[in-house]
Amino acid sequence: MSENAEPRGLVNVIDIGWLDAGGAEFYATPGGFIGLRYKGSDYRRVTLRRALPVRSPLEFISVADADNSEIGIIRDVGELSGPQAQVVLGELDKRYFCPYIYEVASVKDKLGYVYMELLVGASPPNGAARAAGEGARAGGRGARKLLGAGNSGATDGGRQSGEVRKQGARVRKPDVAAAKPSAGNSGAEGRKPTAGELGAEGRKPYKVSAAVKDVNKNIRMLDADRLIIFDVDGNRFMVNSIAALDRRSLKALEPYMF
Amino acid sequence: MNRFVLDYDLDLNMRPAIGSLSFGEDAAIVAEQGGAELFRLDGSDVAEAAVIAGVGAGLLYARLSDGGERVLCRFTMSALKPAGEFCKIVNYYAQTKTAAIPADRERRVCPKCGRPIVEELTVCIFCYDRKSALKRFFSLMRPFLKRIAAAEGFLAVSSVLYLLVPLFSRFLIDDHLRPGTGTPAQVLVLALGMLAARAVGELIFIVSARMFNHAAIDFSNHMRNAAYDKVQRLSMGSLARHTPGDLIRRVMEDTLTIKNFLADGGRWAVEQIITFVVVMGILFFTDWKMTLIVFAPVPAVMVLLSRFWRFIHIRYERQWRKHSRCQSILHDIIKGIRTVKSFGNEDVEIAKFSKATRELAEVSCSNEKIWALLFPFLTFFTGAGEFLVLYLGSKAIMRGEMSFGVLVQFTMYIGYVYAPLRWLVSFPRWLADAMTSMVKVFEILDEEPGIRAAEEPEIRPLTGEIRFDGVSFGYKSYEPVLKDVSFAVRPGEMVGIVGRSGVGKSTLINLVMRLYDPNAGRITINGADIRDMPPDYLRESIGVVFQDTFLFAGTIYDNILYAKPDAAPDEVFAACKAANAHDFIMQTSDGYNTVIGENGYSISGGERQRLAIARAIIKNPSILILDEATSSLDVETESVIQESLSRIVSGRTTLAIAHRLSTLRQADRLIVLDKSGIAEMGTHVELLRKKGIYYKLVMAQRQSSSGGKRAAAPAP
Repeated sequence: MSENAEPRGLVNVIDIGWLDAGGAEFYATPGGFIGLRYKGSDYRRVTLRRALPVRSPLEFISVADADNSEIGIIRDVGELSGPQAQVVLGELDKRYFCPYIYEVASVKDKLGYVYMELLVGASPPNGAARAAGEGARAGGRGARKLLGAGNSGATDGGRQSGEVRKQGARVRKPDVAAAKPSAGNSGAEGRKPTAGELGAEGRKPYKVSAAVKDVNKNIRMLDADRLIIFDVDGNRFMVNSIAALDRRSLKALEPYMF
Repeated sequence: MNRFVLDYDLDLNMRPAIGSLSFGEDAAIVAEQGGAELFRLDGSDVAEAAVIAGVGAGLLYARLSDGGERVLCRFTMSALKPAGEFCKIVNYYAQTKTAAIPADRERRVCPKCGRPIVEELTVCIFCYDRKSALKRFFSLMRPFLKRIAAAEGFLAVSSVLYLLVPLFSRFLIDDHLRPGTGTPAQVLVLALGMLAARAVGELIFIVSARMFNHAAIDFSNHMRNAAYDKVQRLSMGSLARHTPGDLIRRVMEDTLTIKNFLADGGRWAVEQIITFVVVMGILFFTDWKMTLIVFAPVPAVMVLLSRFWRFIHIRYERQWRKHSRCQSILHDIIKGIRTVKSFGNEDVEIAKFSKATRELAEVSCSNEKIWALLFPFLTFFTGAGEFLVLYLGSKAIMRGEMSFGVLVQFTMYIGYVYAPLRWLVSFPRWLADAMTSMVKVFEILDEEPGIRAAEEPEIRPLTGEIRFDGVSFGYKSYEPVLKDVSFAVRPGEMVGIVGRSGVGKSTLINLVMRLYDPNAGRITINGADIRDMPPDYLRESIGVVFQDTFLFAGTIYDNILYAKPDAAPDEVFAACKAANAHDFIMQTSDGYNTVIGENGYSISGGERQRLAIARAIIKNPSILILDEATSSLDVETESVIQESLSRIVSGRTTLAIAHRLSTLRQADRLIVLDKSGIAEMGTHVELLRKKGIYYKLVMAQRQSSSGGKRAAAPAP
């Protein structure tokens, strides 16, 4: 190597392993997984993982085989064809689950744990389709192309695109489902609401009880307006917009926001 | 029919759902949702069930006998552990064709309130039976009750004497200080009487406080020792459910909370209650109308106080968290200052810390403003009663309905009453804290050690033949680490255990030492199941050297003796010579009396390992376990250690986890583990010839070491 030559850039030396979007065919398996046909191989079950789930939920998706060996990285979900992107995004939604907080019913501090009663729902409280806005900013050009199809993007980052929120605007009071006990019960622990109480297709918001330990670590501001909560079991809950939270909920959360 | 039911809370499309997956004695897996059966699967069609944990949710799937895979259910993370249990039961059936349904389940959700029961507890902190906790507390206190009762008696006397002072004042003023009523001698007697009442009251208070403190300290000491004793006797499995911090808190802080409650809270409770009752009695007796008027606003003031403390507590919690954040940023930066400077990021770190301190300053300022504004108001309102007394009392004096002495007495007693009232506001919280500490300590005291000695333990000489028969084990129910492992080690044989990280090498060692019991199968030494041996006897026969050696603060000599406290000095010297440690020890100023640890002589990694080896062999164990004993050492130091190891393993059954070729070559036989159990077994040469997993590991190591040599060559 000559004395004056500059060292080669890292990306020129290291093979990142970008997945060729044109040559990849994702498909849903009968068993409920997704498979991939790529470069002559048929991977019957693949796992998709976001490299930057907060910052770029629609970019840099790692694809690994059943042995957790990485096959490649999807640079941008938008580079895939429409149906392919649907398969990928659907699978990502299954892997990344983070209900949105509609209301904070109560917060109690005991024994170093913060016990919260939350009203949560699968979509952001103001009813807009998920993954507008934030997903568009985070995703590349390809990702923006997807958004009109109403695809889900980041399960921990969707926001409304362009909607102007008034200061202190209140969340529309949702049609509330009855309290739903946490899973993991044996037999008939706790009252179980009927499927009807959960609403058609389980889309109504519902109540959950969460215990949070180490609030410094497990109640975090993702940015100036979003908050994420991790409970002791590893469940996640997101406040999509602090500004849009009702006053009571905000007051309950305020001591833990910093 | 018994069924193991897993409740799941998401449907296959990730929508909230109420469903259950059950496995019963009929070996059928049945899924139900919304009251209807979704599907039914015969257990014999399932080769394996497993859980995949995602981010915020997980799934349970079955690998079918025909090779297909099927998702059975999805759930939030709350169901992850029970799902793992479900898989264990199904997999046990798949292996043995026996449907073993457990009789009881650990509850992680309170059946009363639906709140999660956190890992550290087995009861819901909101719904636990406070009465029985208090009952238990008093029963533990029984040996100390006489002393505490005596202390309380003294305290009651002291309180009453203290309360006599206003009465004396009244008599003094009304009967002796008006012109023509008293004589100096009488005044002196009364004044001396007041003084005596105060002095005796204080003396008795001192005696009572000392008695109380001694009893409380003895009680908390008793609890602390009982808790620590229990911690020492718990199995690794039980200990793993608690963090070290949690155990330390329970043994030290929770017992201190209970002691403080007894010494202060319990003591003050009696004093304040006596004061309040006696004073209110006297006030009502003196002038019930004025008493009622003066105390009418008190309930509102108490509510205000309670709200104020809750409000201010939350704000000060926030300030504490901001403070804590500044500290951890500072801690990080200072610890990693070398890294900061290497990357030239001083300005970035300065900005980060400045932002954190600015936020702390803002919150602190805001809190101080609120405190400065609200606290004087509160103080004013809590003391407002005194002004009412003055006004009403003055009017009564002017009307001739009350004497001046009575007014002074009344005013003094009003002052006495507010202290108990303020204390009463904080008492419930104090009691709640003490009770939760009691629950936490009782949990440790009640926990059953997972590893028990057999009722009729078998003791036989352990010459070192180790056998694993169909052993399966997992730290987490849904992630088995060892599956159906079977092998035998002859006495005196050295077996190397090899494999990638996470395949179960250290787990295997932990099972031999009976730090955990296998979930299935058995482990025998000399034909006897290790579960039939006393755990202490088993571990005395095993010497172990870990990768990360823990040496206690103390002398080198004490650290070696830790394995065999009654060892003679020549045994210690022999062990250290065998471990190649004697020379470096003798180089130190104090030799074997050199103090090592945080405030003592710092020893290098290699020296630390050599002491660990000496400690392992001083008891002349028949079984030696080396858990990557040299992996963190440089090549030169490692060769010294290897030399000592080669001396000490001779004639001992040795299990050595190792990555280094130098260690592996010494082994009589090698066991290669992978995620499905034992992948290969044989000598070094045999396994190289097979060109399997071991061959690849060796080639990779040779390549990396020869690649290192190439890098060291001079540039062209």
